[in-house]
Amino acid sequence: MFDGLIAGAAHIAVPTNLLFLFFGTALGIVFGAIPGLTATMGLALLVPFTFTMEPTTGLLMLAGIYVGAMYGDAIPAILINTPGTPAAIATTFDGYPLSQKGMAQHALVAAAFASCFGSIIGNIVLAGAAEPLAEMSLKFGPAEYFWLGIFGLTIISVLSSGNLLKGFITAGIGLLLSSVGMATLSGEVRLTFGFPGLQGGIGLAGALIGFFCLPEILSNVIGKRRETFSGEQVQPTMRVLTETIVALIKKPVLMIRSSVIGLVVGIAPGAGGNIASMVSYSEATRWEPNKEEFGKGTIRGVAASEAANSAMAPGSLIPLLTLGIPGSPPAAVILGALMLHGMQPGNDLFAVYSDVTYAFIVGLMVASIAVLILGTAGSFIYARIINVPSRTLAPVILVMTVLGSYAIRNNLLDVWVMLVFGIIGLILIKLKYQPAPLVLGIILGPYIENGLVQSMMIGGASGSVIGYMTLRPISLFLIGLCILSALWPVVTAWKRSKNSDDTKLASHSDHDIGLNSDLIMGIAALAVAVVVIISTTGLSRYGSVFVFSCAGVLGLLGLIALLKGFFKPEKIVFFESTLERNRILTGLLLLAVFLVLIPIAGFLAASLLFYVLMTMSLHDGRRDTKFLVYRFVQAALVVGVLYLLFYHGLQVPLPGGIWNS
Amino acid sequence: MRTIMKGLMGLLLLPVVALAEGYPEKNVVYQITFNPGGGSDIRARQQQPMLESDLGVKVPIQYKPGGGGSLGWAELVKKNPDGYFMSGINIPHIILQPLARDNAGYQTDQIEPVILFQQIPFGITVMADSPFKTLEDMLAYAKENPGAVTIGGSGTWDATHIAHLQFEKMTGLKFTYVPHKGGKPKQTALLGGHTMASWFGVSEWLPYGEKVRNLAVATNEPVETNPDLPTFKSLGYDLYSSVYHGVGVPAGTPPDVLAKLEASFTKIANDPEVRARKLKDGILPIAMSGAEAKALISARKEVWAPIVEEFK
Repeated sequence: MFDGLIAGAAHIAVPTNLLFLFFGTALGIVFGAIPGLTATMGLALLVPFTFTMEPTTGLLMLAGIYVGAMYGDAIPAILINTPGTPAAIATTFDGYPLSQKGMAQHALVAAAFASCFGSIIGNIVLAGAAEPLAEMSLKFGPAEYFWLGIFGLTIISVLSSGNLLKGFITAGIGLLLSSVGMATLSGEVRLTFGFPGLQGGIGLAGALIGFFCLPEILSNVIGKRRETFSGEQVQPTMRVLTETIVALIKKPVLMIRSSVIGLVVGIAPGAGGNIASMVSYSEATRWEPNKEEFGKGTIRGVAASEAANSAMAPGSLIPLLTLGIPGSPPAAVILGALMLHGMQPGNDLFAVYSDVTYAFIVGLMVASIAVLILGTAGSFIYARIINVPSRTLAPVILVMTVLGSYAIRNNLLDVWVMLVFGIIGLILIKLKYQPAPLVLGIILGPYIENGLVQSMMIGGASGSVIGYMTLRPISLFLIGLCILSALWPVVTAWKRSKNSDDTKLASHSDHDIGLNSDLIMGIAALAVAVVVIISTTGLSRYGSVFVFSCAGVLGLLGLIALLKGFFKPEKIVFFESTLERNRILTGLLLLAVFLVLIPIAGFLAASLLFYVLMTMSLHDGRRDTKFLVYRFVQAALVVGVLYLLFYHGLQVPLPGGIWNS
Repeated sequence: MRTIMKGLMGLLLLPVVALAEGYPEKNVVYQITFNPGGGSDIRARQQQPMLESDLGVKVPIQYKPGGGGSLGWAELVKKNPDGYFMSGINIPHIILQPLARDNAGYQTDQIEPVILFQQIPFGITVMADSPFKTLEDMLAYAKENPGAVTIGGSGTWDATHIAHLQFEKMTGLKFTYVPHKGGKPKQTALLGGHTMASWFGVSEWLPYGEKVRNLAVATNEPVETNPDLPTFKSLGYDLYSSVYHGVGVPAGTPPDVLAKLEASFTKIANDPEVRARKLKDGILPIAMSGAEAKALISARKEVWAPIVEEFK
């Protein structure tokens, strides 16, 4: 192994290789950072360029992209509360609060350092213990995925701090959303409500942008006219950089635990960074001291999430390089690239092509150092982005939300879904319900459903479904974790009540005004459950078992919420003023007109118009000529650059309007 | 004989190709109906540079994944039949989806096949340490224990599923078919011992070498990579199962444009380097013309329609 590593390192020393490795890393950061673009897409687009390169050079560039993207997605998560990829959802929990406190650079540096750390730990394991761990990856069967998904759901108790009912209602809706479209296993089409475009299911990119990014802009920028995204101006300094890194070095347990969790989840084929960072974050809140800091902005939360999703990447390469089984979607693309260069993973990668293989592994490590360099140096620039007045920034971000939700599947319906999710997200937040459990439900739904249905089939063949699902070592371990995790809030609540009684918040002062939040959500949950059950009655047993169970539980939870709303009403003020309401409605109207215009006038014209109108609306109708000319030039520049990047650079077929077809 | 026929057909096509001199005048979009980075994508990106130099225009690749490819094929049939929008097509997908679903968004005959450029035959594979040494072993066990043998497949209403249903009908035995979310999870499940047997394509079993054993392959003649492997036919079961990959355009595309595209793709399919790489990976390189592909589609449709109707 050491000979291999040294030979691999020799490849990296070649200037061309090192150059392409850095280039790949920088590109990966960009792909990770733009919501809607993913590591998978970046890799796929770059694979053809590797044809003309030496196999080693090409693979090193791909390694850079993969590692870079695992960090890049943290940047928008921290700055504008929008995870660049699903793997960075947990990064928003503490990253965005940090940047709200004017500590964006702390969060960015923490993310870069944790990504580098997690990646290096993962790669050391990949280089040293790939073979034995590959055997472990095969142990994950349907039952294990089912329990992994259920365990993932218990994280809700962490996400919805103290209000389990709210968390589970939103998660239930998320699980049901995940079943929209063609059922993966039974092949039946469900819950598309007459839109054939929904057969492909709910796009994760649209859900992320809709639930995380839009509500923030609608509520704070458009509604409240907040000056900047951060509470105060960020002044990046060298001191912040060293302080943050030293603070994290002093937390070895946190860093190593997070990396190991990421690694293990990566090894399980099929589970990816999405789950890794969530599990790692929730374990951090469980075991770390001063846990009340989590969610309010601590670099430990950012580090827990980022170390895990970066360690996931080398983990997912373990079954890939040894068995030819990709542990994540990006790993699947790397598999394709390896085969194009005539290397077949499994049989001969470590034997025949050990030279290239070890160069690739060393390349991954060097790329993680490149991430640290580019990430810390870049933090001086990125952190300043949110110093830009938000009324200038918001139109750019809004045009990008449309591009981001469209780009992966080239489906305008996805953009509408994104807008609807944005509205739902806004309502949820106003009603004091968090959207994070909902997105978690969308992510975990397929694992739970596929695991359940396959377990029913395989267990049915062996005689006992229950026996098949429980009497297996990893299953038992995961069931134990589920029980522990489910009981945890009870234990902490009991501890808390024993320690102090003075933490009761007196928040029931505004009894007569506002809406009854639980009543509304209870009715909504019941309505969703009824609609789902009615519209899925004709499905086969395998196509309906998951949907029915979820709808049943959701209906029950809705009933409880309804009762709670009656007996313990929690009154919520939805809009602080009619002015805020009108501003938000105007913003939504502009967005809707924008989407309607895209297929008619084409993307370019529609977004130019939207950009100018939105800017005017954010400046409350300023109409002097100088202002208008200045804004129009700005709009043309921004939209033009985005158009060039997406239409020509990424070959996304943006609609050209009716005169073009 | 075949090559002579092809040569003759090529001669016949020559004047037609000359007629289509004007085409293509702008970019020809190549749509992929699966996710970026998947097999279809990688294949198209391999063809892309050769297509661009042969057609003399850019061939941008666009994605429209979802619904097992149906969203993309629904998009394809909505396009103008002018040869400027083509899409990767898979058989049996484009036959089975409209048969099995009420609203697949397209009909099979709305797609005009340009060429089928590769074929992957399927067979039944078990692990090397499986008690099933031969197909007969497995059938005997299934006869004793109806439904106890789990056989993995890549999905529902795809090549493996339809082969499985046909096989159950032929043998009159009951197995438990376990669909997966595509080929890779299916392979992992067999390797991890979660399924007892699995429908594998030649290109899927080759990489695992000695770790796996194949019981039978569903082709007419034994496959080149495993000359000793019996065919289902030689064991008395009239089962043929392959997945074919190709390219299609909307029905109604002018014949000269079709001929031009077919000629370009045929040239790539017959490229010795492309052929050699495919053979090494367990993929049969073919260059089936649009007309032959149409005949294949209608023949398969006739066999499958009653089966889909029965199990839908």
